[in-house]
Formats: sequence, structure tokens, C-alpha cells
Amino acid sequence: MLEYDVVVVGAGLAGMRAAIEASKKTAKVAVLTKVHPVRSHSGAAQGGINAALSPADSPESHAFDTVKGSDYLGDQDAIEVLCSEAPGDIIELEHMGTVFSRASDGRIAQRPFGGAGFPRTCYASDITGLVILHALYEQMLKLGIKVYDEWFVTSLAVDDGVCRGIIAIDLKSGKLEAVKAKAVILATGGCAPVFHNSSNALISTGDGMSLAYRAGATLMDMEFLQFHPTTLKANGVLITEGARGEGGYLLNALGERFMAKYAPNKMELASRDVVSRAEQTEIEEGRGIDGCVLIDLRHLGAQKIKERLMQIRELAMDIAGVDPIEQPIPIRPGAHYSMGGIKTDVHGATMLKGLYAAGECACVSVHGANRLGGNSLLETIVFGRRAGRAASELACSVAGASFPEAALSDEERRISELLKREKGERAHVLRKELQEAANTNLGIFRVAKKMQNCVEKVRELKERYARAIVQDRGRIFNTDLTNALQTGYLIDLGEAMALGALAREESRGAHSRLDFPKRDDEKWLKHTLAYWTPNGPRLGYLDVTMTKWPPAERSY
Amino acid sequence: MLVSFKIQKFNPEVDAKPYYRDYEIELPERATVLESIIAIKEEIDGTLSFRCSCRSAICGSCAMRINRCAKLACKARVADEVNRHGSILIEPLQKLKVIKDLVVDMDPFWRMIEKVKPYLMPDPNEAAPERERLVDPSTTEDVIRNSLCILCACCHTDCNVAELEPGFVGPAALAKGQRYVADTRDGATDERLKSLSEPHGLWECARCFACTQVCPKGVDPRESIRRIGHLAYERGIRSDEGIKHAQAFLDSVKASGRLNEATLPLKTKGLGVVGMTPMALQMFLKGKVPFPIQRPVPDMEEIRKIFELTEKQR
Ligand SMILES: Cc1cc2nc3c(=O)[nH]c(=O)nc-3n(C[C@H](O)[C@H](O)[C@H](O)COP(=O)(O)OP(=O)(O)OC[C@H]3O[C@@H](n4cnc5c(N)ncnc54)[C@H](O)[C@@H]3O)c2cc1C
Ligand code: FES
Repeated sequence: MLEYDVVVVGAGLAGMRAAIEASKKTAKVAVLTKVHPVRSHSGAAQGGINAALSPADSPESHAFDTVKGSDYLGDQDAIEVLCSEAPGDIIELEHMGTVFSRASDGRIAQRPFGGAGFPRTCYASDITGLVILHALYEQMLKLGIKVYDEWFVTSLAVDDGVCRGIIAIDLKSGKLEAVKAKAVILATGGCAPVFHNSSNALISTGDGMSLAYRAGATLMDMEFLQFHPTTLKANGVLITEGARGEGGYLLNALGERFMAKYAPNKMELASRDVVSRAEQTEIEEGRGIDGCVLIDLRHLGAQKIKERLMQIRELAMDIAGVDPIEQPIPIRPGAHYSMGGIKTDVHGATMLKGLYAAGECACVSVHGANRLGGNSLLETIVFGRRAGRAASELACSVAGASFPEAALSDEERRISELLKREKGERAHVLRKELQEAANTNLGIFRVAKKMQNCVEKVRELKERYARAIVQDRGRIFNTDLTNALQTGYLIDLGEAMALGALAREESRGAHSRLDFPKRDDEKWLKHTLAYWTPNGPRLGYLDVTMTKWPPAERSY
Repeated sequence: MLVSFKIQKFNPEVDAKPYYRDYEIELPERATVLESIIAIKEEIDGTLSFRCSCRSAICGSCAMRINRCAKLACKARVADEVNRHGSILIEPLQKLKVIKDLVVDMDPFWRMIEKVKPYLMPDPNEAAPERERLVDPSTTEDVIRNSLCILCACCHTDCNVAELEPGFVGPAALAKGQRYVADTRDGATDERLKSLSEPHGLWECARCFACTQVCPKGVDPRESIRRIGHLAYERGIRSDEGIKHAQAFLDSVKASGRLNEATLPLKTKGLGVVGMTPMALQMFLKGKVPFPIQRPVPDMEEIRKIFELTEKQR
């Protein structure tokens, strides 16, 4: 059996940053990832990464913007860590070789982003995620960190209330393998594909969240799912917030910059939840165009668009058939980012001993009820590093315990059963029904009745999933099988989202209820916890940590 | 629209060799090839295997041969393919071992990328500054252009040289190489240029531009290769046969306006030319060895002007 001190699951920004840090303390680090590291979804991040680098800016003001953006649900101790460590982490990325766009004085350039009081988003044109992903991957090569790519993790091995390692399918050989570890770090990314046409990759299926949840770690704040204001109609692919940061306008069918009505001070650069609601309202009140509003970049001029927004120009032309130099792009709000995830402390430790989490799959919580653009890439780096450090320290301080023998054979049995099952529905049918239900009932504006429908639908899907089949019965590179397993993860998370949302009787950040339109700090200034039980999630609540900023009214 | 696909299939667990299977499926007007094969997998054949993730041409997963040209399936439009070719033929990328259907073993490709030491190597004698290293924005064009590469391997697997010479490091690795050569923060430029100029390196490129043509991201690897070659030449890194060959070309044309094919091998290979004797003999017997002494072209003045002009434009 393979054996390591630290096993990192996931090779996006959070996973690789964690592995690099862990390798400073122990050589026995391995990264497992279901796709090659450079294929990870972090590479799709366009707009940028936040840090108060300028002497005219400060980590405090970054922290305040983040707290306000979170609609006061973010834990302020964690937010202070995030913002005060940001400048050092960005400089470190730069020293590693990350490419950043530069200002005329040679320093890292920064652009304005939504909900931010200062232009503090560092970027590389609109391929920021790609350049950081490559820089970290290249550091991993330099350091010689072992990567098992195209290993699909199917479960965590838990014994005595401690995580002892993982079980994964090596896709190329088709074999099920156990990997023993003193500490496991999950860095498996988001789960927005619970919704149809999300901005995420097809592989962002919340695997780690679901694995941790099933293994006894706790999920937190799952009802907070961010809808990004600018996604393309055809398939949900993203147009970066950088497009508004560079000065783009949002227009309705009458050609009005409608944000003047909703956020007169910040206009297009209000927080994402605010902008998405505004767009949805315009569309629902009949001032949309074919289910969309427009983002107009024409006044920025061809040069700026080609230089700073080259990727989104290409995407708009390829997918929507529109060149933003000449025409506004039709866009609409789309499911984008999970503020919720596996509950961790500021060192990445989950509620399950030996298990850590970082990046989008974790909930520290720095984003609370609504994430600011540019803070997620930052979270992957700051908390990836911290989780790497804490996990390697734990691994160096404990003796290797035994791996639960039965775990591998149990998993082998579960998977062969699924492979052999003869009659039933294929998983993608269920995935589509889940997404349909989520879009209809758990969207930007929520009401009890619809959420109840969603809960019932998810329960039905859970039952049907227990009888689902795969058509590909082979072992080697069986993506029909992995798709089916991923659907199972999504259903788990959809259930936690819908139940959490139904229970939370207020409107806060991305969770906006027509039947409870106000934020209710008295009753709901608290995190939702979801514990796995065989009958679905059991909910619990936890106070928000507050340091400097008492809740205040939020307007932009 | 109803579209027909012919897709190469191979499952090592049951098939002795690859075969083609035909599919027909109803698709929306603007469907991409990726959307189509996903629909085929869901509606017709659950065993059909391929890689995909981002759907937006940024993760590099879905490279495959579409109508005999390496492309990203998520960027290729079905309607365009049908308009040009009448139907759609999908095969795995060339040169790499097939694992299953359209999934190929990418390891040899990753090994090539690793060869160019794709990480920043700052000057070891300079302490890292407390803040970021300063970079003049006017110097970043090449770094950004090469950073657009998503390592999809389209260029590498459609490269004509790599077809004949599997050791050739290939256009993607060389573009990665230029990304670091052009980075003003890097302190290993000469070391990089030397290693990129070694056999199987940049001089093996045949300048056919296939890489530039197939690149789905506009990276233009051939231009990257040209620029590292140029820099190597300027910095006096001229020991490889490739660059001697280029120099011999230049000298010959400069001297006579003609390519002297008889003296080229000697100038390129030096004494190593002895090894070519058997081939030379065969060529001689077939009357293929040109006469070493050539008369200059009639209008040498024109040639001189061309050289002057290029010199000026550099
Ligand atoms: C289109 C888009 C643009 C964005 N732009 C920005 C931006 O400009 N600024 C910003 O701050 N944020 C942005 N975000 C958000 C941000 O990019 C993500 O939250 C962040 O990159 C997530 O990184 P991660 O490391 O947590 O996960 P990911 O990068 O998603 O990596 C997940 C990793 O886990 C692995 N994995 C998953 N499941 C398994 C399994 N079962 N077995 C083995 N391995 C597994 C995958 O292979 C992958 O390597 C954007 C998001 C999207 C979708
Ligand atoms: S799916 Fe990512 S490049 Fe095509």
C-alpha cells in the first residue's frame, strides 16, 4: 500500500499551494488529482486576485470590504488573516515566477473589482488563474513533488474517528488503490454544477465536500451559492468581473445603465449578489432581451479590450458570436461559486481529526453570505499554505496508525456492484433533473414553497440514485463510472443546500428570500452546519466570530 | 440539425485494435464538437471515452483530431466542420499511445515540457527583493503570449518534425522555453539558450508553421522558436549543427545569391560530414550531387539590397 505523511487531494491552486508548503516539512507528500494539475479549474479564473499592496490601501480596509461583502456572515478573525497575509502571499507568488500585468513603474498592476473600496485586484490580462496555476505546477516540478494524476478519489478511510488515508481509482489502470496518510488535505474545488449551466468546469462536482460530509466532517453554510452577474446565455461560461472593473456598463433593453437604481454609488461594481439581483429583476420585469441583459464594453476601445480582456473577447466571439469591440454581449446571472463547504478553522483543520480542507471546497469562513471577486483565488493561496503547514506539522508529530483494512474491500464491493447493476437509470438523467430543480427552485430569488419542492425532488433523486446504473462496464478510464459517482456527490450537496436554504428564514448575501426579504441579525447571524445522517442532513448552527466590525446596514 | 460522426474507438480490455463507429445525433445549430460527443455518450454510447473539463478552451483537456487536424473539441463547431468537410471524423491525437477511445497517454508530452526547466531561475547572486521584482510592462508581450499556452498538445502532436524525429522537444516546450527566456526576472538566459539549442532542440524545427496554424490559443509557437533562435545567434551560441546550417545558408546566399547544396553539409557538419559519405555516394550515382562551384546570380546588386533592407528592419 502506498504511504505518505501528507496526501493532498486536488491540484488546483489550493492543493498545489498546500503541497508546496507541506513539502517544506516532510518529503513524504503526494498530490492526487482526477485531472492533470494544469487541467484544474483554477486555470479558468480570469479576473484576478486581491491584496492591499499599495501604501494608499490597507489590509484593514480590504478586511472591512470583505466583511461587508459577506453581509456580516464571514468570520472576522479568518478575514483578518486572509487580508493581512495577502500582500506577502502575492509577493511570494511573484517571486515564484507568476506573470502579472504591470503598471508603468514596473510594479504589479491592480484593477478595481466589485465591492472593493480600492483597486486592489492583481491580474495577468484576463488569464490570472492560468498563470498562477502554471507557476505553482512548475514549482511542484522543481521541488519534485509526487503527483498521481488521473486518480479519482472515491472515499476517505476513517478509523477511530481519525482520517487515515484515501481510496482512489487509478483511471489509467482502472485499479482501486488505497493510500495511507497521516494527514489528508482536501482541495477539490467547488460544486456550482448542482445548477444547470453554471460557470464551472464539468469536473467541479463537489467531490471533496461530499466525501468529507459522508466521512463525518461538517459542512457549513451550503445555502450560500453565488450567482455571478455576467455569464453567457448558451452555456454559462463566465465573462470576468474584470470587464466591469475596466469600466464596462450593464444595460437593459431600454439602453439604461440600470444599476443606477439599485446601487447608485458603486453602480456596476456593487457586490455580486446585489448586481445579480438587479439583473434578475430587470429581466423579470420585462426589461431584458431574450432572458438576458447586456454588458457593453465598446467605449473601452479595441486596444484595451485586446490587451486586458483578450480571453473573454475570444469566448464572446466563439460562444455568443459577438465581438465586444463592436457589440454588447448578452449575459445573465449564473451559478458560480460555493461560499459554503467543509467547515475548517484558520489552519484548515476540519471537524474530523487528520482531515484538512482548503480552497473552494472549504468554508473557513471568509466569504460569509457573499464572496467578493478576487478573494477566492486569494483564499486558495493563503489557506492552502496554512493547511499545508498545519497538516505537515500534524503528520510529523504523530506515529503512523494502521489503515482500516476493510475500507478497500468495502469500496471495491460498492464499485463492482455499481458496475454490474443491470436495470435502472443512467446517472446523467438524475444529474439533469437535479440541475433543473435547483435552477427552478433554488435560484436568485427563493421562497419556502419552491425550496420545499426542491428538497422533495432531491430526496426522490437520492432514492433513484441508489439504483442508478452505468453503461460502461470496463475498468480502464471509465468516465461513465466517474460521472455516476460525481452525480452522487452533487445530489448530496444539493440536499444540504436546499435544506439549509429552507431553514434560513431571512435574506442575507446570496440567499435572498421573497418571503423573508430582510436580514435578521437577531435570529440568523449564525452559520448553518450540516451533519450527514442516513436520512439526510441534520442541521445545526454556530455563532459568527466578530472582532472589529459590528453588523451594519449594507448598501452600495 | 442531424449530424453524422465517425469516431475511432478502442478499448484495450476487449479490442485487439482500434476501429471506427458511426453515430448520428440531432444537435442545436451552434453545438460544439464537445457538446456533441457528450450527447452521444449520454444518449447512445456510454462507453465513449474522452477527456473534458472547462468547456471554454482554457484547460486543454479536450484536444483530439477532428477531421484530421488537432483541435479543441470545445472550440470546434459542428456546423463549421460539416460545412468544410461534409461530415465529422474524430480520432485521438497522433503520436501518443491510445489508452481508450480518444484518451491518449500524455506522459511523453509532459516529459518534453519538463525538459525546458519551466520555472523561474533568478540570478543566484541577486537576493530576492522584499517587494515584487520590477518588470517593465513593455517587455511582457512575449511572456504573456506564451503564457496563453494551455498545454493541450495540439501543436506537439501535429508537428511534422516530431513525426519523423520523436526526440524533438516540440513546439509547446519551446514556447514554454521562450516564456522564460523572455522573462526579465530570469537569470539563466544563456544556460537556457544553450540547452534549447542542443540537438532535438529549436534548430530541429523545419519552419513549416503547422504548430502556429493548429494552436487554438494564438500562441504562435513558431514565432517563439524564431525568437529564441535569433537570441541564441546574437549571444554567440552557435555550436549546434542547426545554427551552422542556417549560417551556411545565409553565407551562401549572401555570396552568390544561390544555395550551394554541395558545400552546405560540410559547413554544417564540419568533419562530421565524413559520416555522410555512403549517402553522398548513392546520391552521386543517381546524379543528385550538385556541382560545388556555382556562378553567382546575374543581379547580385538586388541580393545585396535585400540583405541591407533586412538588416535595417531588425
Ligand atoms: C470561470 C471562473 C472564473 C473565476 N475567476 C476568479 C477570479 O478572477 N478571482 C477569484 O478570486 N476567483 C475566481 N474564481 C473562483 C476560483 O477560481 C475558484 O474558487 C478556485 O480556483 C478554486 O480553486 P481550488 O484549488 O479550490 O479548486 P480547483 O482549481 O477547482 O481544483 C480542484 C482540484 O481537485 C481535484 N479533484 C476534485 N475532485 C477530485 C476527486 N474525486 N479525486 C481526485 N481529485 C479531485 C481536481 O482534479 C482539481 O485538481 C473563478 C471561478 C470560475 C469558475
Ligand atoms: S474542455 Fe477545457 S479545453 Fe476543452
